[in-house]
This record gives sequence, C-alpha cells and structure tokens, in this order.
Amino acid sequence: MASVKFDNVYLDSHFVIGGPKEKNGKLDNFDLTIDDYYYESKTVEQAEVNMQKTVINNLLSKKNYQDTDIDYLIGGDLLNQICATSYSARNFAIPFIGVYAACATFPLSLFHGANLIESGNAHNIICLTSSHSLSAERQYRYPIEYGNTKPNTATCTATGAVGVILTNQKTKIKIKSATVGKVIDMGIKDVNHMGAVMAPACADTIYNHLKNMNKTPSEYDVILSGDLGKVGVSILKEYYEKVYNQKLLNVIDAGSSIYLDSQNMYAGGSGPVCLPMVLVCKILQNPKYHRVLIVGTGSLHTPVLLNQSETIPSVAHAVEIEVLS
Amino acid sequence: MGIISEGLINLYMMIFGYSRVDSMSVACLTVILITSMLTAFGVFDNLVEKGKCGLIIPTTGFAHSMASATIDYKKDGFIKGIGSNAFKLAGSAILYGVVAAFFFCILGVVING
Amino acid sequence: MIYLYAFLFSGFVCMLGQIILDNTKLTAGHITTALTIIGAFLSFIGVYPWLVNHVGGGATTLIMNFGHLLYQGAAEGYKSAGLIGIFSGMLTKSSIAITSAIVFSFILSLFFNPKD
Repeated sequence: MASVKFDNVYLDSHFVIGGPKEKNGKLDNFDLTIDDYYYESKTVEQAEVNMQKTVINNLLSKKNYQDTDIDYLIGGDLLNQICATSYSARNFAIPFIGVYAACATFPLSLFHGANLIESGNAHNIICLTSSHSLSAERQYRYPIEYGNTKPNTATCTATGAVGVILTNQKTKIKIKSATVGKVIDMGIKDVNHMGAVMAPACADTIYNHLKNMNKTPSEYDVILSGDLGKVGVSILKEYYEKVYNQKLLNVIDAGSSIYLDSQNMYAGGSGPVCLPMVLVCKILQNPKYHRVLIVGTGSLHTPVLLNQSETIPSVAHAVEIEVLS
Repeated sequence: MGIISEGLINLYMMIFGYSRVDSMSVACLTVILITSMLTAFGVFDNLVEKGKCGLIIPTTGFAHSMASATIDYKKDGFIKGIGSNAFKLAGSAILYGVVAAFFFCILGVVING
Repeated sequence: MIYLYAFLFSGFVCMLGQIILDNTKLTAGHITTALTIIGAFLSFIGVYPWLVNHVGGGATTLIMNFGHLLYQGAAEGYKSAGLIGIFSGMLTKSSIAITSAIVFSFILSLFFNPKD
C-alpha cells in the first residue's frame, strides 16, 4: 500500500531562506533573505550550495546540535546529479540520502525521514531542499541573460532553501501519515504548461491518500499543492471533480502564494522550495490551520529526452501534518 | 515591434555619409554592438519580454543570443565554457542558412547551366 | 516613403513571427532558422534584392537578410571561381555580422556577469 501512518514523528525546527523576489512577495516570516542571486559565491550553482549549507548550519545551532546528533540528512534539488544537496552535504559528517522527485522532493524526503524515525532507526533527521531561479534556468532552459518569451501558463523557478528537523520527541507539529504517488504521464510535451502535466498526478495521489486513510477532503483545513500554478490549480479541481466525483474546495497552491501579481511571474512559482516555503512561512504561522495535507507535485522531465520528443511524466507525494494546539 | 525596426532603419539612414553598401554594413555592426552591450547590462532580456518577436527576428535577436550565451558560460572557462557554448542558440540559424544557400546555389547552377 | 515601407515590412514579418510563436509549439530558434532559409530562397528567386531596394533597412535588419547575404556571397563566388567559388564566397558578405557578434560577445563576456 502506498500510504503509511505515523505515531511517533514530529517536526521540530525549521529554517527558511528566501530569494530577492520572494522577499518582496506575499510571504513574510523568512528566517533569512538574500538580496543577491550570487549569495557570496562565484556562480549561481555555488550560491544554491551556499544557501543549503546556511540552512543546515542554522538548524544545528538552533538546537545546539553537533553533526553527530543528526542521524540522517535527506534532501534533493533540481540540478543535475542533485549536486546542490550533495555539495552542501560534504560539509557535514551526517549520513546522506539524496532523493529526487523534482518539485515533490520535500514530501518525499519527509516520507523517508518519518519511516526511519517511526521504525526506531533514527531520532533526529534533517530534511531539506532548495531551488534557484537562475541555476534552474541555465540547466533546463536558456542562458540567464537570454530574453526567452514565456506564455502565461509558464511558471518561474523560485529561489530559496528550506530545512526541517524531524524527531521522535513530542512537539506541536505532528507528521501523521504520508502517501507515495505513482508516476503519471498524460502525454504532454509542453514545458510551459506544467500545471496540466502535474495536475493528474496530484489528483491521483490525493485520491489514493484519502481512500487509504478513509477521509474526505473537508476533513482537512487546507490541501497545499506544490507548484501547480494558477492555471494548474483550476485544472486540478476540474479534473478531480470529473474523474473522482468530489469537489476539492480547500486547495491552496504554494507556487501561486509566493508572488504578488505586480511581480509579473506568469502563472506563479515553481521548484522544490515552493511547497516547504509556503508551509513554513504561511500555513504553520496561521493558527487556523490544524489539519494540513501537503501534496508536492513534481514534473520528472529532462531536457535530453524532451528533445527526443518524449512526453513529460509527473509524480505527486502527499504528507499529512497536524498542528496540535 | 514595428517601432523597434523603424528605429533601426533611422540608424541606417543616419550613417548615409558613406556609400550605401558601406552604410548598411556599419549599421549592422552598430546594431550588433548595441544589442550585445544591452544584453551584457542585463537590460535586453526585459526588452525582449515586451518587444517579443520584434526584437528576436531582426539581427538583434542573433546578437543577443550570442552575447547571452558567452556571458552565461564564462564561468565554465574559456574553452569548455565560452568556446563550446557561444553558438548554442545562434548556431542553428548559421548552419541551416549556409546549407540552404549552398543548395540554392547548386540548384541555380543546375537550372542555368 | 522608404521609411514607411521599411516600418511596414519589418513590422509585418515580425508580426508573422509573433503569430507563429504564440500559436504553435515552434520556438524562437525554429522561427529564426526558418526565416534565414526563406531569406536565402527569396534571394535565389531574385525577390530579396528588389525588397532591399524598395524597403531598405526594413529588409536588411531582419535575419532573412542573413540568408540573403549567404546566398549572394555563394552566387558571386560561383561567378568568379566556379564551384569552388561557392565555398570561398559564402561567408564573405555576412562576415561583418558574424565576426562582430563573435568579437563583441567575447569581449563583453570578459567583463560582465549574468544577472537576472
């Protein structure tokens, strides 16, 4: 079965870094914001590594932990060979598990962390992810300065890094369950329409989670999707109603919640950092959200196969979080 | 879009001090120089968002693609970075332009004997 | 008068490109390559030189002009040196565009970093 229940997994600390555009957007409560895409580094890729290193350092110092107090470091990012995460992990003596699920990396790392803690095989785990607008642009699309025109359905990669500590010590934020999604390919080749690519996978995972946990959508205060974008969210609601005959009324899309309309970010933000950024900066800060379902949506495409006229597969992973009062 | 092209033509006519053929060349050079510099200053990509095809189709598009590629890959070194990637975007136009001109020329030879 | 025609012609071609960009899956790279080939073709059938005379800068600033210059260079090379002339003459007329683009891009890359 794809869903697992947890009794003994809690979220302890978090650290959020936001980039220049995110700082001026809708969110507050960043632990740190950076003004410059290069963040004291020579290249944008090294800047992403630096962001992750800063997150881990701050998480450790928040709890006065040494490297040896953390059992595993689980994380991933968008770059080739998840290099931002690997290269930041080399600074720490923590056993490293690299995971990749594109923009669904964060819930996937929570899934692995929660399983290790629940089984008693770990006490403290750091889960982290990052994305950087310019490094993603270089890798997936065009040179940074190139004036590439995008249609209104396209999303822009967000810049930031987020890390959390999972623990078996009781805190106010409990990880209750998680569902791993199947890879769904709807036969779409258009990279500028990620909402359409990922919405069916998102719907499939939400439906399976609710079915396995025996719940209805209204039993959650909010369902937070990763980065479907404004267009993708409406596709998700339509698709869900059509295919599963249920309405999803309480969906908030993380990607659409980061930027102001005046920042001209097309259909919203994308990247693995969107979901945890909005979770930490908005959802966990708001006392009205107690039962939260986060669904990361990842598009598993690669430029190589895309150029060979392949279609884009997508996956979504869900994690149920309860904020105890 | 059309306004942008009119600006370019004004430039061409301005340098009319030389002969017509020469002034065309100098105008072309100036356009490429200005485009490359605006790309380097980080301004051109914002202009393309507004002007879209109006800036991509003229020679400005060609110069912009080359300038942006070389600036972006500079950190990868001279050979592996700039050397391998300079023509990443513009290469397609040059390659097929040459190939097409070649075939048309051969065709012309065959037809005209 | 030539100003008006230049404006109209280049505006027309750019508009055509914009329509294709918005409504098909073709990228800017596809469109510029296609226009270069079309330029070479129009040069081949003798239309492009006529365009340059009547529309002036409107025709010379477009990427179609690049294809036109390639063809003209090759054709003149053939006239003066036969088949080999096609190869030796091809890039002569477009040299100014290619060389300046290479040289300026390189020099500028030495001093500038990519920003957003």
